[in-house]
Amino acid sequence: MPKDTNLPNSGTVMVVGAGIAGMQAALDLADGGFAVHLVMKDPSVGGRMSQLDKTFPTNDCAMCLLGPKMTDSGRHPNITMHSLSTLARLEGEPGAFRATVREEPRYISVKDCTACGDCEQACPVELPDQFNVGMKSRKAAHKYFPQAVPNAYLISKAGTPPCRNTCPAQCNAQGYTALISQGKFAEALEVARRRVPFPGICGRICHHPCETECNRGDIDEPVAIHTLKRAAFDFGRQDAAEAAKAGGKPAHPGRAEVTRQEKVAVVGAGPGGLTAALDLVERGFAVTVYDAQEKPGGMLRYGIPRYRLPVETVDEETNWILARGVRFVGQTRIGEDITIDGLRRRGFGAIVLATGIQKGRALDLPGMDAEGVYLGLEFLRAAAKLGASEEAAGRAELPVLDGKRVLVIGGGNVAIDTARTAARLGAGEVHVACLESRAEMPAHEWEIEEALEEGVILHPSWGPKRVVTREETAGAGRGAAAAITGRREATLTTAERDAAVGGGGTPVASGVEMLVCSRVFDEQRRFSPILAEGTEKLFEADVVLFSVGQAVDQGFAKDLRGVELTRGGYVVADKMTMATAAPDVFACGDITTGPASVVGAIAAGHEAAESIGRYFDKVDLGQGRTLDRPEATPTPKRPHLVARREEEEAADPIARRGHFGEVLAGFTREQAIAEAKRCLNCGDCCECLQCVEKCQKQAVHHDEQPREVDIPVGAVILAPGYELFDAAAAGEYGYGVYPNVVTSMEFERLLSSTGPSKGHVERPSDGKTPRRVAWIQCVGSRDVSCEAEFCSSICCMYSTKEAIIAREHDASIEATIFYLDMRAYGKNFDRYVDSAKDTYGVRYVRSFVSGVREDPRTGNLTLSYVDAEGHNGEGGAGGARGLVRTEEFDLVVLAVGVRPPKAALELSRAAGIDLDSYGFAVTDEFEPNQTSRQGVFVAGAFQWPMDIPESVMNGSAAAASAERLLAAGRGRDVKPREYPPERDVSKETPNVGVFICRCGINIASVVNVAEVVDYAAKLPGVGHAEELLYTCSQDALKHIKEVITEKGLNRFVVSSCTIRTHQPLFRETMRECGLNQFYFEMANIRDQCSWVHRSDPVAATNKANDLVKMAVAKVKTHEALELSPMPVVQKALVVGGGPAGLTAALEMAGMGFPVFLVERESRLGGNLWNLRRTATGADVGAFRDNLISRVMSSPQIEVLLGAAVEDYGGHAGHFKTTVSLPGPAKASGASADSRPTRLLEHGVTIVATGAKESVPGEYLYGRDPRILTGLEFEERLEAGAAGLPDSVVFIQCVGSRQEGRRYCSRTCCTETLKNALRLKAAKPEAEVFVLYRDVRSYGVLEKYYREAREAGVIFVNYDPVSNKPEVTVEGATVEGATSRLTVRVRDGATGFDLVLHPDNIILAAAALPAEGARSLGTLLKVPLNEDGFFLETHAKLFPMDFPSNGIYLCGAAHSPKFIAEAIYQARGAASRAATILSKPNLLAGGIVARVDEKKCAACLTCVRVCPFSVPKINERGVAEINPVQCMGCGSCAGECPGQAIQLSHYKDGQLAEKVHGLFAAVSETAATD
Amino acid sequence: MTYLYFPGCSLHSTAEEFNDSAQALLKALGLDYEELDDWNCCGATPAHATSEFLTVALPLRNLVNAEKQVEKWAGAKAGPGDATRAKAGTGDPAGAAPIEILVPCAACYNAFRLAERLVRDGGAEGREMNREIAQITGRPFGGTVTVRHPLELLGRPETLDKLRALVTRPLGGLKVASYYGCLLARPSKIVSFEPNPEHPVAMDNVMAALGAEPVRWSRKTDCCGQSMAVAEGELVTELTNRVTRAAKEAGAEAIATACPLCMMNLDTRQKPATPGEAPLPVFFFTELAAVALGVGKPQAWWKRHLTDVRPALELLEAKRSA
Repeated sequence: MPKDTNLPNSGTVMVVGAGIAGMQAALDLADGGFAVHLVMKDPSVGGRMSQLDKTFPTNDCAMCLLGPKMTDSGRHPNITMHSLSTLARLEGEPGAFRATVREEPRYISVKDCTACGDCEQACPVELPDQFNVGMKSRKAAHKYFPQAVPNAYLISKAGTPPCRNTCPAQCNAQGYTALISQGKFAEALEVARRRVPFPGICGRICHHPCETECNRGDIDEPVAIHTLKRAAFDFGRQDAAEAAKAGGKPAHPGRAEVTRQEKVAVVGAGPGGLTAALDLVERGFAVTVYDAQEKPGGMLRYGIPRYRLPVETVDEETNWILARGVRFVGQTRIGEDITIDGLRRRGFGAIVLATGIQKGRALDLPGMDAEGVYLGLEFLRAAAKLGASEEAAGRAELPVLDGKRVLVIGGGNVAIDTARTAARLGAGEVHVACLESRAEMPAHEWEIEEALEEGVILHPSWGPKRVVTREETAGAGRGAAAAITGRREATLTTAERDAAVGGGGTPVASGVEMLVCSRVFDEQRRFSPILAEGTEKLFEADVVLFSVGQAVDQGFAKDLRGVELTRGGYVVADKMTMATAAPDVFACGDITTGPASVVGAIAAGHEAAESIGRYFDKVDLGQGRTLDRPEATPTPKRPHLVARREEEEAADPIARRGHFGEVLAGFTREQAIAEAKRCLNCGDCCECLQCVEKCQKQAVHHDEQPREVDIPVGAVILAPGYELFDAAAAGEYGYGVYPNVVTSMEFERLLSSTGPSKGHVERPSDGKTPRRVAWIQCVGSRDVSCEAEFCSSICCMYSTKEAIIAREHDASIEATIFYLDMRAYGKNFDRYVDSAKDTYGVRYVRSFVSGVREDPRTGNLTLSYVDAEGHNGEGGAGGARGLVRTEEFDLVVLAVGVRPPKAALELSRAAGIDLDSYGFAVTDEFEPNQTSRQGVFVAGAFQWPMDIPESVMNGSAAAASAERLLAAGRGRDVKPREYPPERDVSKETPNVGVFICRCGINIASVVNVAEVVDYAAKLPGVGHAEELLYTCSQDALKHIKEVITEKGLNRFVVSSCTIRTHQPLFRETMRECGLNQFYFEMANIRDQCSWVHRSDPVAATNKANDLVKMAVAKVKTHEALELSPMPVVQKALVVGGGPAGLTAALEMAGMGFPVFLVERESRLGGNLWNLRRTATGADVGAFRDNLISRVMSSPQIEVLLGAAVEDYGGHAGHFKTTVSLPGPAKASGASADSRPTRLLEHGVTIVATGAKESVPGEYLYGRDPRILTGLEFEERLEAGAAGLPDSVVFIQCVGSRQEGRRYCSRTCCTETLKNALRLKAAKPEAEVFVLYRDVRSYGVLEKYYREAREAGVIFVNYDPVSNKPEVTVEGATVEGATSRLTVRVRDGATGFDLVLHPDNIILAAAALPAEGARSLGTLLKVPLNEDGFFLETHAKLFPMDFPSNGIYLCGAAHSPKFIAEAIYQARGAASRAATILSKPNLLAGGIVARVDEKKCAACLTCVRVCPFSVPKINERGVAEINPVQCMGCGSCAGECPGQAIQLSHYKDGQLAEKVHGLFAAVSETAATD
Repeated sequence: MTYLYFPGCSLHSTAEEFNDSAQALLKALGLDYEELDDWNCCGATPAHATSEFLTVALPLRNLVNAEKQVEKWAGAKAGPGDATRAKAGTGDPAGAAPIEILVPCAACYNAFRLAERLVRDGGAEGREMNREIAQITGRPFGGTVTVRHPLELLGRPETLDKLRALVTRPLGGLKVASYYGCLLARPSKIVSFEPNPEHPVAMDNVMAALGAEPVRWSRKTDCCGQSMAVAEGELVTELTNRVTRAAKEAGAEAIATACPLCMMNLDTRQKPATPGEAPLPVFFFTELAAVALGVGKPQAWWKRHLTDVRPALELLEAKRSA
């Protein structure tokens, strides 16, 4: 039991979860004067309900119901929202908690976002839309759903994708790939260039480790990332050039501005040096690059053969860099032409060494100096000069190869390049021999393949012993070494032999003697080749090219003042910062690492530049930098279609040998787009930054980090909602395997007009409209094998709803629901199911479906089930029972069950609360919202599975609990705003200010805003008109206030978006200027103009003009409306003293409000006197006594027993109730009229009049003492084991669910289970039969159904129409001792007739509304439903409110329910009531209807039409509308036939003026034209 | 040595081609294995139908034998035992992954797995069985040997990679219906090694790795009728034909199975729905794998099939060369 002590020190509550329960709790608290922090894991409020199409049992649109609550939560001044947030920790005590909230970044500022959607338009990444359960796609920059609150965009990120993570240069591959997928090549090129200044080069020759790591490789083949980079370059620069020609931004950004004094020298113009130089130039430094060669590019230009990399590409890319302002000085060699000290003297503040490794490595073998022996690297460098300005130099350096046999030694990429270059230079046969085996060869596989295609002959596992000269071979004659394949020694001509010995004394190479290499690497994978002696073989060749490694050109090492070198001559540099031993010298690229990759050199260049920046800025070089890479994102868990990799075209292998033309053609545009679409978008957002560029509000911040905030709160309400069962885990139904098996949530989205098919029911496999649709119930519910023993409570009804709505969408759909028990236990639910059967023709089959099979040809699905009811195949009965039937359907919907939220465990730890064995929050039966930790409450489905109205009750109840705990803190943490006194402008001539919003480009790109401004300025009465970029931004509002004051404006029009979201903001601005807020009008030129007329800007502009005209015309007629305070009598009246009434009274009293508790009977307790135990075994009597004693001892509660409401009047905030009391008059037996009465004045009324058990009129009840009601039997059980019957038959639904009382009494099934179990416990041998229609043990009560079956209780299903049980007394008269009871019933499952002779028959009698409910309803003017239960405002969202403000209901007066349910509804009612009582005054007036008494004919139209029952005929005989109660909907004003009613702010005259304005302006415009 | 191998009676008689192809496959994959010494009948149908005790005791004796054999490897220093693997035999569970006994016959696998789990789960029944087996064989089953179906091994990503690399004659997109039958699928929590036991995929993945095209169909785990064929021939024929018809409807050109009993029923009991309709060739999945890897002596296996497999093989050749 909670303590009633109040903790004074907080007026703030945290609500975790913003579904319907969380929002309800937050709104009640905020309206009751508490500050609320609403913490939600989703980007928006709304929860599951926002995903639903319609709601049962009213078929209302879920979003239409929810929208207003969402908007209210979003703009409530007392609610602070924390989206994408979770509760991380909760420390402290009730009243003084410290809650730590972890907020994940949205990357778009909620404050700044105007929801214009420009970021979404620009975003290239398509992802599955979670809101549409993956059935639709959305962008990475997105709004959660159209009506999201906060109304703001966000970006989803999943981490760094493996491609980017693996790339040494961190090139954003996903970024450019995503852009290419949208055909945005120019943008893609920009993204690629951010980290790789050579996209065209890397797109051709990068060894692309990104592709090895690409997650797509796990599915089929990696994305061709490097070829896409090439496409970005090839097509991107074309597109950029065209865009520049068309007046867009220039293709090249031009020279970077020099903003720094410091100069930097870069030695070496290879990829590393140029990258560093470019970065430094971008940072504003002056940079000079020196290189030994004539032109920049290093190995790119002088190492890589042209057939892999055209020189034009190298020119273009190096020129691009130089054009940014890098100064290049060629033919300058370090160590010879310049020195480090020399550079320092020339004023270079920092130096980058990026010389690379330029020398080929020679082997120390005999004969290396023979003519015809060359180093591959030098050979390549010379060859690279061909076909360019250095042609002559190249020719001079190259050997003549025409038709000669060439042998390349080496197995790396350089060797392969050498071989292929030799082939192109006219060589005859080209052979490559290497130490490594074919599999071990270090050259890239694709390079080797291309070489083989071109006819290069490989000789793996051979090592050179010595170079053989012609002299030797000629002398050796025939018998010497063996020959190379295909050429016999005999073919050597005499001339050749002669030539070999001639020629000036230098020996001429004729081949290499090779040995078999038995291994290359030792066990430690170190290079340690073993050549097998005795395996000598001569490989003949005219030209031998050694490509066995590279060496540092030691020449550069001269004069390296302060720079340290390794033994091999490499520069020692820090791996992370590239710093050398000399503080001003940095080094990058191959000179620090040995031969490595281009992209590695680029990466190092970036790091060197970063370090130099820091060096000059005197910032620690290491700070915040790390060599560690984060874990790359795994393959996203979403369905991926297999799509093969695009292949680029390659030149014909024979033809390409003849020239240096490029081998690979790259992708076509179409291929590139198709290939880019294969990307899985592993990182979600690709960080292409297009959104940053497009967002004119600069609201996008990609570097946002998660943050934790500590918030002091007094209480916490947990409402995290629920998850849906993973249908794939119930494998027998084939979800995830058969496309046409969908979950109920997927079907819900299919029905929704905002869903993937816009509300057309289409089946996923072929988009066809399904005709036969089956629902399978209890998927993941009531199933121990799925670890869900409980019933999910909602599925029977939602499937019924889905079937009805599907039929409404398309009447040709045949709907069948396969179910176990139809659990329509809620208010009006049975009627709903009946209407599904009778009106909509939905077929219900009571059978468990054991499996689903698919016909692979049609995608149709076959269900097998046991036909217990004997369907005749045409929806009727009469067929054979108990047969296994198979039936084909077009679509199967799985009614998936409810699960505790996945995050429940973490949340329970963070909040310090206990979970039950299912994973729901532990609560006490009589304290349904109290968790195991004081001050922490639970609301909604986190407690147990429940539907929307129960969640609303529960949310309000949790709010009440928190309010009671923090009663003294009410109002403490919320401060009303102060405004300047209002200026009376009613006498002034209207002076209108018009502000036209551009809304970024949302309006301005369609509507000619300047024209609208001009137009507005000309309108009569307009004193000021201007355009603003975003009218709603803080700076704009400030500006507007200044203009209003400066120009003395007294009317204010904003032409922008919608009043739905923005009117409160602008009205607030009016008040801040000291103007009445009603002197404001809005013209919606976005949602209703620019957005819908994108294709016709001229007409849209005209329409905007018209809308502005109308707004101006109307605003001139506006009047100041006052909201006048009406004092609230801060007391409550509770009618009814049962569990609900007692709880409500205690709750109100606990919050500090005095309560009148009126009970008709002479004692409190109501039905609590009839019940003994609850299903859990809890003692109802003890609970009752405790409740009553707390009420009686509460100083705030005045109990009026034996009292009845006699008269009722007043309005919310001040009701006047007359009650009659049992005075002396009653004692003398006089009528009620003469009883003493008392007038009670109070601000709110809570109706809690309860229900009662009916007296059965069938089954011989009352004619035999052995036939009892449930309550009577419970009484016997309580009396003890003695005299308990040996056999009983329970008959369910006695008086419920039948003609005239078509509702379920909700509790009887569980009461029966409870009594059956108690009997079995006391007397295990007792025979117990339960004759039932549906066992409605919903939610966690399902446990008792299982236990009862396990205990041996026999359940027999009966049909009330065809097989209703018959009860007879046989053998004697009723009084006779030998008579026996007989029950005859046909078992629905087997079709067998049973005859039972029990000792007792227990009837589950229906629950009836309390006597007098109807007359109370009449007095209070609140409605009752046809069953006599009180009727709430709305079945879903206002289950405790009456249409009349200030009157609430709870408990069984609403509908039959359990004690726990009555308790939380009572608390909820108290919470609702507190929203009124917490305020000293209610504001009345403003936009309300007023009656002109002179015109009123008292026709009662307004009385009938008002949805809130406000108008009444007063003592003067005319209609009166109480402004306190009026909701301002205008229904009465519209309907009044005498036009006696006007709705202020929307008066006839005002609206007429608006229309006149339109037409007057038309003629005026025509005149001026 | 890495694995033990239990052929069971079928693989030594009616399903010799399963035995040959499975062993050829294991060798091709470079897996060391040794046939279980002194093995006995797994119990399968006869024991299962007559004696609860034998149902567990027979496979359990085999498992005890397996542990003995593993210990022998560890004991013989210069023997075939691989050092890290053999540690398992010393009862040092931290030493290495437990030795696995490969049981290709689905019926044997099912029996082994049930017995293994009964003991492993440590319930009263399992303890009692283990006590009894100890009395008979002199020692209890210590749980150091794990029962594994070859499909589970093949279905692992690393083995699939290996298979892909070893394929020399890819199956050319032959449409194959993977048929598990009931014994590899039920009771699912004990027997199945699949994430979704109702829709197993390991065989599909193996077939895809071999270059075949697995078809999507609904009767992967249906019952073939098993040994009811003797008593209720017609019933089994109906069950069998349901399976083969469903495979045909799904576009299958062949069926792959992992069970000698399924093979027997599917191979012998296909009835054409229309006169002249060709029956669907049925293969052990290992046979198709051996074909794709180019190992074993398939020509000898094909002779043992009653439904002519040549149409499927010819189709495969035609598709591959296309």
